Amino acid sequence: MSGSHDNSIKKGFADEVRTYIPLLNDGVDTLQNLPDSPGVIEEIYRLAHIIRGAAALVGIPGLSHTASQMESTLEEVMAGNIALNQDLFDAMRMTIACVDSYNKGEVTCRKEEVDILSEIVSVFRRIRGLPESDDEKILQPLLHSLYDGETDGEADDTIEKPAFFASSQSELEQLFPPPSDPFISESDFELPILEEGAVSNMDPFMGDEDPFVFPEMPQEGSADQLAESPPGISCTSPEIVAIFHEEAEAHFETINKNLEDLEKRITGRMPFTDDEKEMIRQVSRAVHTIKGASGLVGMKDLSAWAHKVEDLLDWLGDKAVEITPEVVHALLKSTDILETFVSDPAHVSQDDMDLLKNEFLRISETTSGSESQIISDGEQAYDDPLNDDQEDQDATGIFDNLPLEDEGDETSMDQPDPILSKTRETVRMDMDKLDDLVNLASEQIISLSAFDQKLNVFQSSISELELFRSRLREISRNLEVGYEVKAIQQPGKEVQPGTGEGDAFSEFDAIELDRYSEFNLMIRALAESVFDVGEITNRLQTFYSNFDGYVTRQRVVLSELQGKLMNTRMAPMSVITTRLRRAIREVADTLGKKIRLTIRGEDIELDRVIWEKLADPLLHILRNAADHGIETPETRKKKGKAQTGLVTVTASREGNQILIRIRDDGAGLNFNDIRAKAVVLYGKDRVAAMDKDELSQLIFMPGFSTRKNVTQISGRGVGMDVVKTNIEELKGSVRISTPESGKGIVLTVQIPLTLAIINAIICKVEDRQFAVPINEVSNILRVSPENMVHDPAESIMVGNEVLPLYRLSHILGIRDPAPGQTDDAKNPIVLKVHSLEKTAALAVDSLIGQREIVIKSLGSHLQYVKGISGATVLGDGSIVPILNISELLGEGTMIQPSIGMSVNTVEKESLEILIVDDSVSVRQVVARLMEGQGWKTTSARNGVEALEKLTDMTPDLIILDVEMPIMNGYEFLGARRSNPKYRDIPVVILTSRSTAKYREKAKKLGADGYIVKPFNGDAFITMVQNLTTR
Amino acid sequence: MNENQKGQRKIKRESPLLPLEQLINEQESQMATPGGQTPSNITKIAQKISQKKGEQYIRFTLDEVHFAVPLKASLEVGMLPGITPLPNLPTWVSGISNIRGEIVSIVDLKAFWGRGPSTGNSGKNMVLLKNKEMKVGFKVDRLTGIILLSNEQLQASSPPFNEGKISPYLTKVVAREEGLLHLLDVEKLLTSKKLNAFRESKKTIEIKEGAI
Repeated sequence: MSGSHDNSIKKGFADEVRTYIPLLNDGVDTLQNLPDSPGVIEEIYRLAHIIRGAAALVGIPGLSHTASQMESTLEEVMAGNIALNQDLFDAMRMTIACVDSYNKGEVTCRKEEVDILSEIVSVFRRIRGLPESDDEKILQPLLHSLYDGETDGEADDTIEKPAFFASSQSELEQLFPPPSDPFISESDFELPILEEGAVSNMDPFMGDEDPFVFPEMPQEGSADQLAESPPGISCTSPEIVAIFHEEAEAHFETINKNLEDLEKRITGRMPFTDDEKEMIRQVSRAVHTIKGASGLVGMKDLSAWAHKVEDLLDWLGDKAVEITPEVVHALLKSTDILETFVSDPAHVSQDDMDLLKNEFLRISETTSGSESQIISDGEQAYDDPLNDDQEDQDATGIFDNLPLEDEGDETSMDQPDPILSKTRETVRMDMDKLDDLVNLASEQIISLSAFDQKLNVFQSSISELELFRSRLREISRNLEVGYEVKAIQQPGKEVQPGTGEGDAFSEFDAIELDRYSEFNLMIRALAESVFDVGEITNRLQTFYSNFDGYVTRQRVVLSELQGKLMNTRMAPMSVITTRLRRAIREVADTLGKKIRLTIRGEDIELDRVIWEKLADPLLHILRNAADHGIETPETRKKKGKAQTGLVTVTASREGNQILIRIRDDGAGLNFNDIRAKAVVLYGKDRVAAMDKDELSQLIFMPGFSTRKNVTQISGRGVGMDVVKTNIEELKGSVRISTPESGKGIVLTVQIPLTLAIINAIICKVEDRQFAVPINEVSNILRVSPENMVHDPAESIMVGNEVLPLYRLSHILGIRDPAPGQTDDAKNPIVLKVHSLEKTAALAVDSLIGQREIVIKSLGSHLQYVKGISGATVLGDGSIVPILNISELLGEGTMIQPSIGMSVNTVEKESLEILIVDDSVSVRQVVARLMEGQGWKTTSARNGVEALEKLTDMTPDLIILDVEMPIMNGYEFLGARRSNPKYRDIPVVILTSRSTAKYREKAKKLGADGYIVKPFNGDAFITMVQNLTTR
Repeated sequence: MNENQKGQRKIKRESPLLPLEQLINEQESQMATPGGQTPSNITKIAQKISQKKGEQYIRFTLDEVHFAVPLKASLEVGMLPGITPLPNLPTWVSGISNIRGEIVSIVDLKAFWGRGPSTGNSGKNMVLLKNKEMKVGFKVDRLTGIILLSNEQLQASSPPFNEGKISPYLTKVVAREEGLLHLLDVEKLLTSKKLNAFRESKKTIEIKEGAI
């Protein structure tokens, strides 16, 4: 028996067969539709053969015989003895169905097996044309072999073998109801343990809803037994333990959530409703799973404790009629112990456990006397497993004493599990992977905006094309109207000036085709081409609108994608609320206070990393509130407050910030104490001038505590300043306010929604853009000369404040620190910035605006650059460095320009050239020539456009065509001369007119060079270089 | 469209060249146009090339001196993209660039070797080199194609001279018709103390501040 029960082999076989079934079905279908398909019969035959062989091997004779019937029939078909017909197809389908039901574990008793086999045998024999009378003869040995397969005197109807085909473990359990578990009745304890060993080797935690079903099979003692079984311990590799921790964490979440809900509902002794029972059951399921899993990974103490808790939970779920806050409290405390077992096994307090054990007993006795016996029996059996020495005896004791009710619960409890598992199907993944995805999405947005920009260029090219088309059409029409008719007339009559057209209409035969000259035909062809160009233009226009639509849609999708990706990093506040509740519980217990913690806005989401970092400061604030704030019940009674103190944590979202308010109704701040302490620290005079608000902010100062005695919970004075620093590290802030003396305090914590995207002010110095995080800027102002102080150091007056003035251009070494007397230097735009140490004014050249920027690193090479905290990429792909204000304004502010941004000079050598020409191709050719030299080019279509361009750029050189619409080259030269701003920009005339007359005129108007098309590239470059280096 | 035609024409004209160099040239000519500013992805080219015995190198010049880096150590070659300079850095770090959405620092190889910064028309091209830790773009003067150095050639080459600022970063010097070809040791270059000065500095500063 034991050999044939090797579960993993059978499971493997079941999996294998499962993949064959669709193949078989398909094969039969194909055969029926196309009987001549080559190889199909062979394939079915092969599969049947495999199933037969493998089934016999793993010890399922019934299945093996079934498949064998099909196999031998198909053999005859292939030999040509039997023709394909409907009967055969039906028979095959039936066989496949049988195989399937075997595989799914639906064939559970011997009678079914016999029926199936007889049916199959007779059907196939009819097909093969064998006499009915011999059926029995054939069937007998087969059926006999079926019985032979079963040994160990399993005379009852339950054949457990097919059960091992159960495709999933839960099905297995259904087939294997623990009460009638044959293993138990045979007192064969070894087997299940072996199986568990095998399962845990197979990676026990990767299962779906309840991977720990196996340990349940041999009743509740499994965990303890497992602890003894060598495989259970030996296979606890660190990975498995790690997985267990993750798994346990998820279950603790469920437990805590339900218990906290219960805590809210149950305020006194009250009847147990179904809802509450369901909660208890959920808790029980989770505890149960933890128990099983902990047993597998060898944490037997945890397993034993979990078992005890589970006993109480089961009892509550089934028998209890009433529930009291004490019960919930005990359960919460037991959960705390469970969690300690997982996180820090060394610190589990035996005393606490003993206390709770008594509490459990008391609860079950007081709440319902009649049932207590069962529980205490269980209790006794489980009291000792905690003690390693006595475990052996207990292992057997467990099975004797366990209440049978548990069994029933097992099955009934497992049913809702699939639903539960669906709701929490999650994927754990590396944060880095997620970050990669977020980055890719941002990249995509950036590249899309690059595409967008090109699209705009495309659009303007189309409108240009449109312009040329209408010009062409004009010419074509003029030709047609002015010359075509004349051309027709020529062969016949002489054209009479003035009346030529009238005459043409009088001559009817003038438009006859044979009188058309070559010229007429060309005009026609031109007109047609104009029309075609128009068509193409329209088509391009349509393409453009299509593209534009796609791009818009893509942008919407992309930003949604990015948002959703960012969202995946978000977690609700509930990830830390359990810790908060526990902290309050602990403090309240230690100090003998009654505190009720209410948490609102648990669904408010923040980056998980931020929550983790926020947990410590929040815990600290809560401990403080419980210790300093909430009074003892007696004091509260005296003050006329409810005995139970209230602490409320409210999270809410406001704009792009999360606000967390922590409020207590305790004594509030003791201003007398604070004042006394402040006097010690800062002197009497300063303190006297402080109002309550200022005084209350003092508690955030390092080392400030009014406590006379230091306790375990608080009083050292290192707390609140750490809270403040931690929160500020998250770019957040914390404030304290006191509504009314003696009515507690409110602490407000502000946290920005994400750390990856910040709001920043983009400013410009020379032509460089820089970003300054907006939370470091408190004000933007233009300083008038009278508010500037030059001695001893440059500073400005803002209101009554004198702020040191730093010029960004000097700090960054972009310009010489020599006081430039430009307008901007006298009248600078200033950002009032505040870093950790100081507030200062930072002068910039101009402001671009406020943007939401994504912070990126400076690349893998430059991991740290002083004064720069990162960079961001704008939509056009350009990089903007983000300034680190505190570093920039720190010591050694003045940076030697030599190591500053001297690259500037190199960059400046890239020439900027404005190309003014109405011909697209000339512009392109010239632009390519110039860009080949590494110069930047800008184009304009005519003089007017060129003048427009000149208003926002100052090129090093202008290349100018003469013939242009709207404003020609000569006119442009005139306009340039009259404006001092452009007068010194050298201009090169590029034209096809080579005569001296034009050359002279250009020179007179102030052109510096004259190039005739077609030009020599090298000569052109040399000329440009000469003109620009003057 | 226009660019493609141009590229094709160029290939026809330069048919005596090795197919490799054609590819590079084609890439370069496309890059020179405003539409194709992004550097070419040479790994793709590398895949197209059948592997012969020996190793492929990318050749470039600095002040008319020929250098080469192993193809497999380089990610991209091409026109130098726009550079955003940063403060508080030595002159040999030109700044940072956006290369396919990734921020990469650009090092002026000439300045790095103390030859004075690339000015004017020189240093308009870039070779992007990588090792396990980082990617750095290096400014070079001209890219002169891919070359296959056979194992014999590599063995016959002499070790680099012992002195000078450049020699520590070279593996070998190969004599060729057009002159000496200096093979760069990419790993040595990228792990050199000088280049890595901006990876550790934060820590040292923190320690300093802590000490105060």
